[in-house]
Amino acid sequence: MRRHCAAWPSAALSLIALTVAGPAVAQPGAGPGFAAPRSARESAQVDLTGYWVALVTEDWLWRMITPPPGDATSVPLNAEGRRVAAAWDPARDAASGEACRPFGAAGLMRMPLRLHISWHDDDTLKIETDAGEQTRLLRFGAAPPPSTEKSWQGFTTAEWTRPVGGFDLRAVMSGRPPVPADGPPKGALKAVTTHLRAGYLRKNGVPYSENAVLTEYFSRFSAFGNDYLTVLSIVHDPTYLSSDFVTSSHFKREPDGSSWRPSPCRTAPPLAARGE
Amino acid sequence: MKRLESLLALALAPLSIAVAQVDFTGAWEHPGVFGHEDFNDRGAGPEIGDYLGLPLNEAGIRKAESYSGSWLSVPEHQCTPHPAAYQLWGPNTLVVTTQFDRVRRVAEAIRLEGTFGIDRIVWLDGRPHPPPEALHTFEGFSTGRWEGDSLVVETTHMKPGWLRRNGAPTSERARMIEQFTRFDDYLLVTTVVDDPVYLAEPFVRTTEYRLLPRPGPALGDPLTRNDAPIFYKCFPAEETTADKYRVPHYLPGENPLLDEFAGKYSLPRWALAAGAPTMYPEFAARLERGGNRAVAAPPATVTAAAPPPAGIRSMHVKGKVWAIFGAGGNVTVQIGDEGVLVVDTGSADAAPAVREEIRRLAGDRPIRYVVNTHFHADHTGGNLVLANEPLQQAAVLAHENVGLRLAETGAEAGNLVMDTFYGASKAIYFNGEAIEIIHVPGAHTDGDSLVFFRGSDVVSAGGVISTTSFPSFAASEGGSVNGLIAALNRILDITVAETRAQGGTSVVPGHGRLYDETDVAEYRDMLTIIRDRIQRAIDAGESLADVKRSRPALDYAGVFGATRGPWTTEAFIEAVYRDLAGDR
Repeated sequence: MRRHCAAWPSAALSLIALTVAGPAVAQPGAGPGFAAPRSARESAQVDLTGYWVALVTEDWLWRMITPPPGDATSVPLNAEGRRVAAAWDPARDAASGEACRPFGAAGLMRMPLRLHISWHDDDTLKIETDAGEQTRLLRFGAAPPPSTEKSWQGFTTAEWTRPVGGFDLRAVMSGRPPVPADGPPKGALKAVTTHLRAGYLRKNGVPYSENAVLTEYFSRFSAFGNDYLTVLSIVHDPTYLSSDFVTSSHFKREPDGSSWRPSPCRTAPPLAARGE
Repeated sequence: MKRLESLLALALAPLSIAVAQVDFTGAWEHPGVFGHEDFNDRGAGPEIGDYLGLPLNEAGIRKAESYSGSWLSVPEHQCTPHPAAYQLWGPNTLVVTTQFDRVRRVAEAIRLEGTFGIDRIVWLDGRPHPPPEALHTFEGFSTGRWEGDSLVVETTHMKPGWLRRNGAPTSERARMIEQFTRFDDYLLVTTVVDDPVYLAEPFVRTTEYRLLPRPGPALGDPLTRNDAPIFYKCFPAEETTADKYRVPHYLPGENPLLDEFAGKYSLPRWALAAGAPTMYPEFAARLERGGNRAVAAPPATVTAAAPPPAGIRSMHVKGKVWAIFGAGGNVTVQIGDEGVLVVDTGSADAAPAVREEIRRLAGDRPIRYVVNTHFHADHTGGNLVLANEPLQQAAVLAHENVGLRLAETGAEAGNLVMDTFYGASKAIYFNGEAIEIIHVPGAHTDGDSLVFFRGSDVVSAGGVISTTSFPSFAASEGGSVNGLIAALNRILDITVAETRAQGGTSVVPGHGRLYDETDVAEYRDMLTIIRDRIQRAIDAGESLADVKRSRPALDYAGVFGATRGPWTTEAFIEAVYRDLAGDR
């Protein structure tokens, strides 16, 4: 029994070593003394690749159809944001070549569309969409170069979040055995996107500015024989938002790309103002 | 050793972020309090007709479209909490605490408390889910396991509930799997509900919470004040002068709110009833193409419920009462110092095993009384074995029509039914509690009785309730649909829910799982709604064939229906039709 009790501090020390030594971000090109650097693909904590279809089970009236102008329900717009939203003119967007405003990164995952996620190279994950024909590149271990231009999809840096593996550090500290994890290690991907061209959080012109920063957490979940991709999105935009705009979206895995139907950026005409 | 632990704690303090990824304890709120999505759910509530984005099948659509907001005025439903499949999407804050096993020093459960919902306990200690006959609750029974840095929770035994609080339903056969994952100070909960009765495919929802800076009870939570739990009070009140047994609902095609909703959002009416296809991107294009390309909800292709385990098994109900399952009809047993009272004796072939199970529960205490709730062989077939105690035969009590019917059939069990009554009720006092035998005329048969154990607070419902089939009756045996509804309402006069429309008085049905007041009310609602649909058709001059084609029991067939056996859905519809049409 004494031996059992003494084992936990050792485990805790091991965990300290693991925690201090293991960088939270996969770091290609780690310093001397480490094994050969592993690419982001090799160190992936979760496999996000494949075809995924959005399941629009929430906010359907604001996502599947185009809401009426000025309807920014539950989006924490500030006064300037509300003014810009009310002035939305889809014809003007189309005429000025900005029909892809609703397909910018900060609004893209809320759109009814399909994703194709694949490895662009060993350290870059690519997300393509059929609707809007957008391509996002999630770069591991990279910082945006100074000359980066603003674009609909901006510049995204990515990192794997540390797989804690159900290891309860507090349990270790209190001397009780931790709860073991079931199944393979399972982590998530954190992505931060900057250098965005001003776009829309919703189809009907609810705006975000070029100052917006998008933070996302991608993870996976399986239940009842289906695989799901979940994305937690946090939009920080001091120009148009009074607080961070936080949503979560989910996608279901499709067996292949047979339902993939690329289509250019387009916004269906808005409904008549609600309540009329 | 103490010093080493202190050093460890000091060394580990900077690593709290890593620890936090599996620490869900604390108070959480939706960002912006009401959240940045699901506004309708967190505010005044989704509109009637907004079944968009839900993978409902045609049974789910039918159930949703018949929903009336006045349902919440029914006494038995007034205190209904948000069920587990919806709780996190309603207006709520969430408080997560850990419950420790003080002996083993491990977390045995996580407790989830949320406004307007009901506390949920997620067991982490590996305990199995209850047997199928166990009572269902609005929170269900949840067990959790770690998968990586996420907590995965599986929930069963949920009462009928809803996916949206506008009538979009879930059934008692629904199961739910949730994933709780923490990302920095955000908690993401992914919920997947699988319901073979009302869903064409699993329903998925994600919701996010932000950690409140102060641990402890959530702000504004009516369940807590000054960091201490307060007593939650809710009791039904008669808010209208309407019939207290009313069941508000819309008959098919008569819900005016559906057209109103479709008009408000410029949607074609068919879109509201399209069900599962409304979730997918293609649906936007279908809407744009115009209203002539209607999409219908997928058909209800209900798989049969898993059969109950074979063999005789028992479960403690409450107080001095146990239920024995697997004997044909359910057997209710009251055990005390004076001996054993048995309500219904199961089928003849199961009787020896039932006797053995009673002996296991009651030891050598003799069976003093047998009560037959009605005359059917699956409830009286064991009389000969159970009543024939070696030293003193048990008294066999029943309404006199039970004796008459048994005599007509020539069943041997009838020879023992000597203590009959012909009034409204009979009462005895046994094992320290009053026991009322209450006759409910013209229900399942013409001799039905309810048995109410006053002290134990249990009702044995006999043939009035079968949780595994539509209510059955035959005019030739004196049964009727309105008699059944009256009998169910009589049960509701007796039962009292403990809190939040669940628990309290327990009900042992003639067949199937344990019920409480809300379950009985749901069963009564079902029968009343189907009765009303068929009555309207009769009033409109529709034939039996017309009624069958309209499928008046569509939205309940997944739980109670059958296509084979002695009491199919078609047989039930035909019996109700003939009863109401006076074609008996």
